[in-house]
Formats: sequence, structure tokens, C-alpha cells
Amino acid sequence: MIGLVNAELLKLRRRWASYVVLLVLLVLMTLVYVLIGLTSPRGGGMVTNLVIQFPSAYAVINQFIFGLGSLLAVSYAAAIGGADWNWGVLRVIVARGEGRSRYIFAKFLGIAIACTIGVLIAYAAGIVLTFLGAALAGTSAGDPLAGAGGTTLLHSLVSGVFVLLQRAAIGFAVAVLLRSQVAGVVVGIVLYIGENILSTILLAITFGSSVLSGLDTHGSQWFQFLPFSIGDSVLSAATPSSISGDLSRAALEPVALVPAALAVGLYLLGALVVAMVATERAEIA
Amino acid sequence: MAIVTRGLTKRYGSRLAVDGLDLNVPRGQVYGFLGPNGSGKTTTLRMLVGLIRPNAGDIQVLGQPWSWRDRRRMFRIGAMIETPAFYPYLTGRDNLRVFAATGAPTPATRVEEVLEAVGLADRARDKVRTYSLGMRQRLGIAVALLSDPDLLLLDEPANGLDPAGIVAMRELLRYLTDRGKTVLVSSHILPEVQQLADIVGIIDRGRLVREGPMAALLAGGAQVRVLVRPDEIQRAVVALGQLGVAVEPASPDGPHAAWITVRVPSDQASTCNRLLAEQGIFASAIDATSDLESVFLSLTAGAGMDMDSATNGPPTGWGESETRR
Repeated sequence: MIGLVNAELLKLRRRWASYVVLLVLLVLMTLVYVLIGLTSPRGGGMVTNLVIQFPSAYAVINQFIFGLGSLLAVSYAAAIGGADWNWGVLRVIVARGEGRSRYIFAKFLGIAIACTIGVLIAYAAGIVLTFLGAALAGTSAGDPLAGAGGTTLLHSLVSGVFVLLQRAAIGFAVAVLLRSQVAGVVVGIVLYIGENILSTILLAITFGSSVLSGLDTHGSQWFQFLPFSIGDSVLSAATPSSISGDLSRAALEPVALVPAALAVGLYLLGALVVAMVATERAEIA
Repeated sequence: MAIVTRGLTKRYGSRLAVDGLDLNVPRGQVYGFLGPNGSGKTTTLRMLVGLIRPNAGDIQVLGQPWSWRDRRRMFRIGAMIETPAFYPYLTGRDNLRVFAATGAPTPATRVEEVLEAVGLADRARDKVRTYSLGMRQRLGIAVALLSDPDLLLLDEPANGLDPAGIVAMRELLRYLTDRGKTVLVSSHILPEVQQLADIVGIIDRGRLVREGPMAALLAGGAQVRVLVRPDEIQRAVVALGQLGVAVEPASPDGPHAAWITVRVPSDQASTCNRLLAEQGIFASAIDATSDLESVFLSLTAGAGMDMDSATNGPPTGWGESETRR
């Protein structure tokens, strides 16, 4: 298994997509932080300071890396997962006597390692860019590890990577089911964005009905447990200052961390099982 | 036996791709697996390496029953099915490394050995996307050789190879069989198979129509050609028709003598000559030499023909690296 994972890492290291995906994220983050720094008043305003001062700045970094980053991770995992079908290499691997499930699992482990490294790099860049934004705005970013900063950082990374990998696993499974990297990427993105839109609409309906009925908040709703939405609950619970968490908390009772994390874990496991079973049963022509 | 199949059947919807196939591939020999396009050759190979599941029938590989889940048996088989497939963005060497990590445990030194064996050592650092079709074919053979298999299954291995490459491949496969390995080659390049194979199996519409030693197949050759004057063609056809087999006159549009092909074994050439002489027709020439192509055509009735005639070059190894695509 170690040899298989090493081979996957070799493939990912040599593939441009691994670098392009990270580069897209870093360029977008850099642009946003530079713009914030340049357009905010000297000394920063109240809103600006939320973005470029720790510990509240972690929420913005999380939004970039686990929000936009999730979309990129879904695309990346789908592209990697579908490529073996597109290039026909799976038949070479199976004909060499490799176990299909074993190979799919090793492939996802490789993707998981690559995504984790990408998150660490992007997170480090996010902290550096926060300092850059603060410097451009003529204010101080503060100490990222001061007070609860260290804990927030740790919780953000652990829960964020967990959620990001679950979302990547869904993209991966979709591509394996469709046996195509392009179809996997497109359908993965459509599912991700589609679910976000659906959740937003359902949230608005729920919020509207709560206003009409004079309730402050509703209990947890079924759509909070949808595959991509449940990750937001984990991020929201693990890092209380998350923007998405604050918005949904206005209308809904958030899903607690443990059930949310369990649901994310089940989705992750389910996606992998689906990918493995689909590959086991596939007739490879 | 290296491979035995009994009643091997594969159905796609209502179409029978392979219909009760009984193959017998002896150990230590080159087995030529022939058939027209769409006759079921590749489908059979896919079943033999577990890519697809048969609907019925049994497979024995290297003396043991085999099912598609028996992946460890595959460790002793090297295969190149259909067109060779690689990661285009990796070099030839890196492709071999990543494939070596799958399936049978393969020592790292084996990668360099197989690169040398297929004559790609000097291009091993180039990305596969820059390889010509022939180079990809050679790399595909290298992948099949990675685990030093006892049984090699090669689907159209000569595709895209230049004449020198074809000769080198033939020598490599001979070298492997001399060392006790078994090679099954599926091909439609009949002159190549004729030179290479010890045993031949011919499949048509999913069924095995002939299997046996190449020498026996050719000895019972399937045609005799006689050369007569154009004005004697009609009478010659009538005379040869007494054999009760197909007689195919060449079109008598030229002023010179024309060939008539009689679909009978080559050992009946003297009978043909006698029948003509009895009618006062004296053939200018009789060609009773038999080749695999004529045997193949007579057995498959020319179904789905798509055959190349490969010319063989001097035995100069794999030759220069071919032009990039």
C-alpha cells in the first residue's frame, strides 16, 4: 500500500493540475488582500479590521481555503479520479493484478495528502497575506497565536482539512462513477454550487417563516445535512467566527460539532465505498 | 497448458462476442491468436486478464482454475491489451515506475532492464506524450514484461512498429519462449504471425474455427493456383470444378495468362494438374505454396478483412527511435 501511495504522489507531483489549483487559490487570495489593504482607510475601519486582524481574520482565511478551496478540491479530485479511465491506464493496472478497491483507496490517499499539503501552504500564505493587507492598510494584524488564536488556528486546520477531504471524496466518487475526468469535474462543480444555491433558498424560506411566526430561530433542518452543507456546520462549530456559520445561525439552530463531524465522516466513507464498489463491479473495456 | 478455456462465452446484450471458446495454449510456445476485426480476440484477452467477466465457461491459467477475482494469479501474467495506455505527462521511466508499484512485487532494477530490452533506454527521460506510436507500443511491451511473467498476452504488439522493430520484437519473444515463457500474440498481421507463432488459433464470429501447430496448418494449405492462357480459363474452371470446391478465376482482361485459384489443400496440386491435362489444358505454372493468409481467408471466408502485409527489415534491433507524433 505504501508503494501504491508513493506512486500516486509521484503522479500528482508531476501533474500540472496540482500546482495550477493551488496557484489559482493563492492568486485570488493575494488579489483580495491587496485590494482590501489598498482600499481601506488608513488605520483600518471596523469591518476592515475584522478581515485583517487576528483572531477574526481566521474566518476570512477559512472562507477562502475551505470555501473556494473546497470547490477547487472537488474539481481536482474529480480530475485525478477520472483520468485513469480517460487514459485507459486502469486496464493496465488491473491486468497487472492490482486490487481494484486497493488501488482506488491508495489513489484517494494520494489526493488527500496532496490536498492537505495544499491547505497548509495556502493557510500559511493566508496568514502572511493578512499581515500584508494590514501593512497596506496601515494597521497591525496582531499576533495570530495570541489568546485563543493558536486554538482557533488548530481547530480551523483540523476541521477544515477534514471537511475539504470529504468534499474532495465526493468529487472523486462522481468522476469514478462517470468514468471521466471532464464529466467528473463538471458534475462535481454543479453539485457543489447547486447544493449551495438550494441551501440558500431553503435557508431564506426557513428564515422567512421564522420571521412570520415570530420565532427567533428554527431547529436544525434536513438540508443542513446535505453533503456539502454539513461541512459548513463542522467549520462553523469548530471556528465560531466563521462567516457562513454566522449567517445560518441567524435563522437556524446550528448542527452540533459531533453529529456534524459524524455526518461528514459518513459522507467521506460513503463516497470512498461508492468509488471502490463502482470500480470493483466495472467491466473495463 | 498455459491457458485452457472451455465454453468461454461473453455476451453484450443480444450480441455474442465470444461463443463457447475452447482454447488450448501450450506452455513455452508462441500462440498466434488470429481473427478478423470484431471476431472476439480482444474480448477474449480482456476475459483472460479479468477486465471483464465471462457470461459462461471456465478458464485455467498456468494449470490452475482462474476467476476474475484471482488477482494474485495475474502476477505471473504480463499483458498488453488493446492500445498501450500511459500517463502522457510522465516520462517513459516514470510510467514504468508507477506501474511497477501495482500488482506483482517488482524490484526497482527491473525498470531499467525492461527499458533496455525494448530499446527505449535512450528515450526513457522523455515524456510519453512525445513518443511515436511504435515507441508507445514498445513501452507497452515493457510494462507487460515488468513482473518477469511466465505468460505474456500481447494484443497486436506489432502495431506501429517499423520493420526493424518488428524483427526485434520477434527476437525478444523468441528469447522469452526459449526461456520457458509462453506468449500469446493476437494479431491481424498474418505474415508476422506466420514467422513467429508455433501454434495458431483462428477465431471467427466468436468461435474457434481452427487450432493447431502452424506447420500442420500450412502443410494442409488451403489453395492451389494454376496459370493458364486467357482463352482456356472457362474450360479450366469447369475442369477444376470437378473437385467440388470454390474455383476463382482471375479477371481475364489482360492478353496474357491468368491465375486461377482453387480452394483445396496444397497437396492436391497434382490432382489439379491431372484434371487440366485430361481436358488438354497445360498449365504454365502451378503454385502450391501455402501461406497463413490464404488459410486464414479460407477459414474465415474473408470476413471483416483488415490485414496488413508487414515487410521485414534486417535484424538490427529495435532501430532508431521513431519520429515524434
